[in-house]
Amino acid sequence: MTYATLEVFRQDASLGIAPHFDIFKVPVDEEDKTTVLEALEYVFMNVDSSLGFRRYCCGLQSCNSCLMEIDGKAAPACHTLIESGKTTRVEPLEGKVARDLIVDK
Amino acid sequence: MSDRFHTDTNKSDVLVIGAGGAGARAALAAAMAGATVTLVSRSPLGQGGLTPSGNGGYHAAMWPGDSPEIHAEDLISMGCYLNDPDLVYTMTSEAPMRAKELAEFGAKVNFNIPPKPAEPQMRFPRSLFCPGREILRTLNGKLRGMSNVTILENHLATRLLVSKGRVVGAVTLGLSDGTIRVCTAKTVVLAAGSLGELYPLTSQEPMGVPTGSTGTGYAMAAWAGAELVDMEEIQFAITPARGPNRGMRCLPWAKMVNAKGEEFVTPGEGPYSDIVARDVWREITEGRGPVIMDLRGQVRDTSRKVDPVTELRGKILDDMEAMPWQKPVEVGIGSLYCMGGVRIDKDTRTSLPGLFAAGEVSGNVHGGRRVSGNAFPEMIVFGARAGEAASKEALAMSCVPEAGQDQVDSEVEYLTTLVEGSKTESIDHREIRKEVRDIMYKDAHMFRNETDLTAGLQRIDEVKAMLPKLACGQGLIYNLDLVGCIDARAMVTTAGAVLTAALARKESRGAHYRMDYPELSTEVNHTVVRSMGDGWDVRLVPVSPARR
Repeated sequence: MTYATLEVFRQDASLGIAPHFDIFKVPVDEEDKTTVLEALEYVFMNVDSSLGFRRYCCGLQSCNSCLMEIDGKAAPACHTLIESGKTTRVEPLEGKVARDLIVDK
Repeated sequence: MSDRFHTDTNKSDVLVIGAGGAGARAALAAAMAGATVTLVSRSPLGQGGLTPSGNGGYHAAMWPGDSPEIHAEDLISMGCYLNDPDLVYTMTSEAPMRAKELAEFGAKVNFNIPPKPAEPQMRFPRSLFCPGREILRTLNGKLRGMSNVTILENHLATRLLVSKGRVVGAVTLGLSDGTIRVCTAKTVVLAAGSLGELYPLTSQEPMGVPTGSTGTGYAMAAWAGAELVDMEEIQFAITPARGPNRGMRCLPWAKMVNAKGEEFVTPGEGPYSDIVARDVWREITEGRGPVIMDLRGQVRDTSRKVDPVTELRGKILDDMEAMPWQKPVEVGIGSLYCMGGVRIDKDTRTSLPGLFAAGEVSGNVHGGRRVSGNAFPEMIVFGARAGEAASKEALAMSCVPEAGQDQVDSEVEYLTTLVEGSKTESIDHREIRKEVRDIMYKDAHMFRNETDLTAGLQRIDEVKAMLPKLACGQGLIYNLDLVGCIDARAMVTTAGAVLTAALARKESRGAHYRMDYPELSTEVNHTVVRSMGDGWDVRLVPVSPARR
């Protein structure tokens, strides 16, 4: 198993948590590939369940639920792959941050 | 009462819980009838649940020579005679009209039925097409424009409120602002279906990410005292077990080999896909796995026309090089659909006054097998009927019933304890989830027997005893940890219902296979379970005879 690094934006004004990035080491399935959304799910299930993100996937890249800024560009997390040995920076879309990667419309 | 959660109230004629296709259609029907409606959606509209990923196959008897009677007969025979004929005839009779209605609302429905029946056991071609996301786009667009509809997005219903034997509303938790709302209504429509996530591999977690099908609808109905029917009938399907296409369905008759490289399924025209799935399950559980689907080097048939959603899904997987033509794909058996559910009549009335149910959360429509293309007509026909019946009853009532304060207080206290409770001796919801999934995998999967089911029930009771220790991290805004706790409580109840019903059905019918009772019983009975708090009341009830 190889690993990638996720730099994840964190903020929760209601808890007094100021904007910062948390670093997570996540496994990459070299043979089968791993998406950013899967990596976030891995973090939630195994490392830090206080992470706020839209934990949903329609599987068709059509619902836009998981749109976020990935390495500076708006992209669907369900369709963006992470690469072993590399760092991916994950931030919320522009707007009022409700918690971490979740922006309220 | 907590001073940490904000509390608020909401009153309407009809409260609809769940905003997939059935809930949205119910809300629209009720609103068009003139009722005030509150629609509760745990996600932003259109970004949750299972409807958005639905291919759109919508079966209706519209081919020359076909009829609602023939359509119903096909479904009942494929459903192993466990379907309630009254419900099936209602669905097949209204399916064509309800599809036309959807088109009138503005949905792009493809009425050009492909000439080949979807499965060999169907006597006529019936596949209209309207993708789930198109249905939701249409229904949500209409709902957003109606002044008598309140949409509570990012709101999770946690418990039904019952007063003097009548369901009078629900408690909801607003995820975006941490508000607990006491939603009271003259009638309530429950449309929060599916329980795929009770199993470790499910076709309801596209790309390995959950859709929220944790069985909350069944659990809420059970806690309120409603009857659940045929909960043991859970459809399983061959599902990629790893990688980005994990949790997506794939063709069951593609070439598959076990660890020894042996083909164990006759290629070509397969029997029912759930029968092929049993072959795969046998290979895996009897130690001959992993099972690999490998089509490398084979000519890919691109001439076969598929629906646009299947085409899109194929393209996505192609792009990720995750198709069996590109690389070997390890497959497993995933949960796909729950045929059982809240027991309803053809007006979607449940066993509890004030409560209606529609869509996957309801039971006794599909019997022992949900035939492809028939979840959508169920969703739309009974969604509409639920909205119509619930609004009719509501509009005849003079005032919205009051909820009992003690019930509200106890739910607020429960939610407060989760975020404020002792963290020293606490249990994490992820442990509960893992435990439930392990129990269901080992004891209530495709092949069942009395010993396993009894052991599973005992383990569920042990997990249930741990629930008071559930606790989560801080925060009231989008606290997914808190959502996980609420879901975990529901998973335990719904798993208990499945195990109890599976133990009671001492025969093998439809999707339910008992190794200790491999034959069909001569009598056709529903299993009906009702929560008694500590345990379950279980009855066998004869299926009503065919209507004609």
